[in-house]
Amino acid sequence: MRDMTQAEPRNDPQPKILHMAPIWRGFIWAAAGFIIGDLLTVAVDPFRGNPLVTEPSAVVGWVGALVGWLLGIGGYEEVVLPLFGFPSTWVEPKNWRRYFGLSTSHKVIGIQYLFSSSSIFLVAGLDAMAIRYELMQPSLHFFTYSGQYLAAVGVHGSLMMFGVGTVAMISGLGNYFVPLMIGAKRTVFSRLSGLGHWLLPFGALTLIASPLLGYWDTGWRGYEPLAMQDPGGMVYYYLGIFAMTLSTILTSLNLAATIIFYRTRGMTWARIPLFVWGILTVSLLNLIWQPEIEMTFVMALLSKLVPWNFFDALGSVETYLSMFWLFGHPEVYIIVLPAIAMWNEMIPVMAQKNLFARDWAIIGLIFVMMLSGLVWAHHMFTNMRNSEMFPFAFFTEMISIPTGFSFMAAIGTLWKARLRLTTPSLLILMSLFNFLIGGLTGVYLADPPVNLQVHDTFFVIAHFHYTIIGGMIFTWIASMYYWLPKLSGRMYNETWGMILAVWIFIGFNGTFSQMFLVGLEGMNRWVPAYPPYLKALNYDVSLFAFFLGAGFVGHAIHIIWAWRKGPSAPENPWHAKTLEWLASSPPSEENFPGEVEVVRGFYRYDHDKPSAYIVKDQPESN
Amino acid sequence: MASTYPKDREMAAYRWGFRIFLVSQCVPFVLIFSDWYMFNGDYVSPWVNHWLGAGEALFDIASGWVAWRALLSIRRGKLMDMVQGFRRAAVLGTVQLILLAYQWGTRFVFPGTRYGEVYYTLTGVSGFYELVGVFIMVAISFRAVRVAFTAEYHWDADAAVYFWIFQLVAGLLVYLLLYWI
Amino acid sequence: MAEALVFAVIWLIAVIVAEIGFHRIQAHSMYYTISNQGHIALNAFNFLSSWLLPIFIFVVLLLIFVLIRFRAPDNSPKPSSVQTMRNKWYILLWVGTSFVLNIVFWLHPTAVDLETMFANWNHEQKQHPLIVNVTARQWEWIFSYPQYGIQQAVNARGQDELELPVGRPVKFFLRSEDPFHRYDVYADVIHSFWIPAFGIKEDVIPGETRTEFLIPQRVASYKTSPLVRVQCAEVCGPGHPYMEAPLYIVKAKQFHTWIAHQKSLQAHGA
Repeated sequence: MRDMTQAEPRNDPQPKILHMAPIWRGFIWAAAGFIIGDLLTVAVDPFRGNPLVTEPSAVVGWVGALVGWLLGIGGYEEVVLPLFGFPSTWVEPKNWRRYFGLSTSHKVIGIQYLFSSSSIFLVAGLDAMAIRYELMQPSLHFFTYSGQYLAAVGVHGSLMMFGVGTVAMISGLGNYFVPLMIGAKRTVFSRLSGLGHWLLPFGALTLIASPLLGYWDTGWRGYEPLAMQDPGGMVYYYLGIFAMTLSTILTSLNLAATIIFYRTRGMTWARIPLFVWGILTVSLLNLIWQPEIEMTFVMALLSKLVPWNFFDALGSVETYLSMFWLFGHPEVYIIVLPAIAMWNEMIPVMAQKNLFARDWAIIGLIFVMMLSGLVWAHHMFTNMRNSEMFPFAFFTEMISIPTGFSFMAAIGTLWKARLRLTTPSLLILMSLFNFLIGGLTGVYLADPPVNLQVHDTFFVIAHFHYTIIGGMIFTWIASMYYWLPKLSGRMYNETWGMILAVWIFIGFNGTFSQMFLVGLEGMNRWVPAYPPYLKALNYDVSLFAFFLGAGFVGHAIHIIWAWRKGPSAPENPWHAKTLEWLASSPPSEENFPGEVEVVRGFYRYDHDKPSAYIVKDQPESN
Repeated sequence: MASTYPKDREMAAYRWGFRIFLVSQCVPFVLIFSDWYMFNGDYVSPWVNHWLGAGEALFDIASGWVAWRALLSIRRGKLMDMVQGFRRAAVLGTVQLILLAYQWGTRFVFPGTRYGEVYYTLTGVSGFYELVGVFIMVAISFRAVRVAFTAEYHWDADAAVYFWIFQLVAGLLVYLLLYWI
Repeated sequence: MAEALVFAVIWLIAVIVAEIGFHRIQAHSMYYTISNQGHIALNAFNFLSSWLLPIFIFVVLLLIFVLIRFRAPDNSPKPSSVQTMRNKWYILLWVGTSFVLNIVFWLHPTAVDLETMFANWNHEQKQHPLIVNVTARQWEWIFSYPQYGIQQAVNARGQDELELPVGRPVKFFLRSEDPFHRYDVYADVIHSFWIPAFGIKEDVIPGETRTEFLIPQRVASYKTSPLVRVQCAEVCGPGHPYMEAPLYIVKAKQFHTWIAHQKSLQAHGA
């Protein structure tokens, strides 16, 4: 029924009547799965007298819980039954309930991802507030133990990286808008993608629950051999990230295949919108590097459980470091590539001006993608011989060149433009500013002598928050405002949008610019207690951080308000030419009322001709 | 909806999408193979049981051969041949897994040694992929009967065999690395 | 063209003002630096800063310029009057500059500084350096002076301390191991040996011995600047924030008195 090439069961599906919401059933099945897995481990344990939950049993129980959760959320009816040839009995509700169960519609999946990822952002953000509150005083006053603080830091970092950074723009906006922007009506592996979303909240909850098994203290990088010493919480760090990265892999696979194969007529490679380019390059990075980190974590997990000596004094500590950063550095480009692609998506629209040097902007994205695998060791300059630093310093400095191309295109487009100063365009300009600082401070870090001093200090923390919050989160918020009329059919309040944009700009720069100074003054990372001379600056940083946190909440409230109660928006409020604006707002189930045919590129504003037409469905256009 | 994507384009999307997935699944193997090299070099423990190892490899190759024959028969429209072939391949795969489990159980290779760590990691990972493969082969053999695959419509069987061959190659490489090189 | 000219003039003035301002503060721009290694880092930092300032100012000024000059008076969707998609000279200038700058940065400070570090180390190796064995354990820094037969340098209260003579090359041997729990292979983790005032840090990795060379250049202690301290910079467990040790850089004569004192402490089984 859904697609003709996949032969379907002969008997008619009997719609299943669920007596409870899939999400509740998922919870119950997950609990059952955990208990079964845990008891099974206890049963085969050759040594009696261990507690009911041990590290190995928590792992097996977790796998049981994951299976139970995915089946309960709808996987049993929609995936397992068809796999064995039974008809799927899964019926997606027509109302809001469909967001709380397995869905195959890319728009529903996109919104599910946006919601999950925003919730994770909130949790991890509150975590950051706790961290900053602790750092207002030079000694422990909020947390009781140093380990609690370190666990808070690790949970904050891991959730932000794997639940927000790699998710919000790629799985959230990507799932929703990529098919619309290439004129597709659905994605290639929509069931898989629907299932994939539910790995994200599961992984995030695993990470949030990890301190229950003991305060792990490695930060988001899980450095060995410290991880081997750590209490059981470490195990759920590996597993939580495993689930979240798996979710990202499934999204990337689905979107890459969709972009390559489901482009509509006339959507040639030369016409693909920039955001889609961003998602394509990022998807390829995800498909290479996320499995890499998963395997690394499997090895680390085994080292901890068995235990083995891969990564301790008997093995090779640096191998873990290399394996982690082989993924870890592409990860930051995974986070930021969709954002820098999005700048050049929005600026031409807001300025109603031709995109300057479009080819260079795309070449920049591709070269960043290719170089990002060659720079990992600059995270390990404190571990290397001088001669080894040489090539990595080279590639690290070189990667700023293709990144600069995006700036070049943005600035070329802004020059002599007639820029409409809306909330999205303001946020984009701010994002350019922030990312500039993040990029330029990266030049310092690429230089080994300077790196050897500022490595592992707050200078580095400030640097990567500038690239990730300043680059990606600002652009994410900008994109939310930009696409709000499409997502909801409603408009936000321009005054409030501007005020909140300036608010987070002040909060953000106040927080993180001072962190550079804290770092230069000798504050190292992962410390809930520090020498008292650093207190004044830290106190200041914390005040700005609270201000920034409040600003993000303000944006969330404003966007939710506009989504539900905002004034209704015109069809194409920004006069953009990309395909998503051909669909109704919000788009219908089928996205477009017919076949879309693209006839021109999307970034030309020197004429009024439309970039695409909708051809009504012909009966036998097969 | 079906009219949106012509049939061959949709097939190409599935096929190449799945191939992209398999290529991405090579990454974990590249990683553990390089760890094998880093930690173990070309050392082969004198404690390994070459007969059992060779037996595993043989069962692996045999099941791959059977699965491939099954795919050829569905291409000629012989549904029941395919179903039987898939199930036989799954049985052969299971036998291999049992051999592996026996080897794990007897601890011929002591887990606390450097070779042992690498041995259990490599066989564990490839064993896991094989387990998934067995599950898929069995599931698809049931699905094939219920939805009646034909010479035209058997994408699921294609995918299952792709995966089976993938894990076969991975398993053979593991065998070569652990027992010979 | 007029706009570009106005912009260029503003940019030039801003750059000149900023560079002058920066050169006034640059001695303090990084931190308190009292070793030859640290000066390499400080010079590199200042060099990069003064070369990156024009770029920073260019982009920031441009963003401000856009906000003032190229802002639409109202939000009606009128196309911009200029619709340039290509400007050979601008692209050439941008790509060329970014290539040249990156190559320059790679040659200087990166390559030059690494060579200087090498040369310094080779030179200091021949100058009869003071050898200090640094052992990192959870969570303590232990300093021993094999040339003087001192096992563990401690102060009057039994806390570890590091004392160095000014102006004499020092060679640190860095190891991560627990001398009290040698049987436990899981006891050692990564630490990072960092003396902020020396401007260099090196990870201390279980199973490896690392070395570090430098020359302390000024008499100093925590009282002179809080950056004069030994600090663990890599997270090593709950005790990580407390893994510090005091550092004193003293005159040669005072150092020998201190050594004698340590010897007597050791002899009396302190």
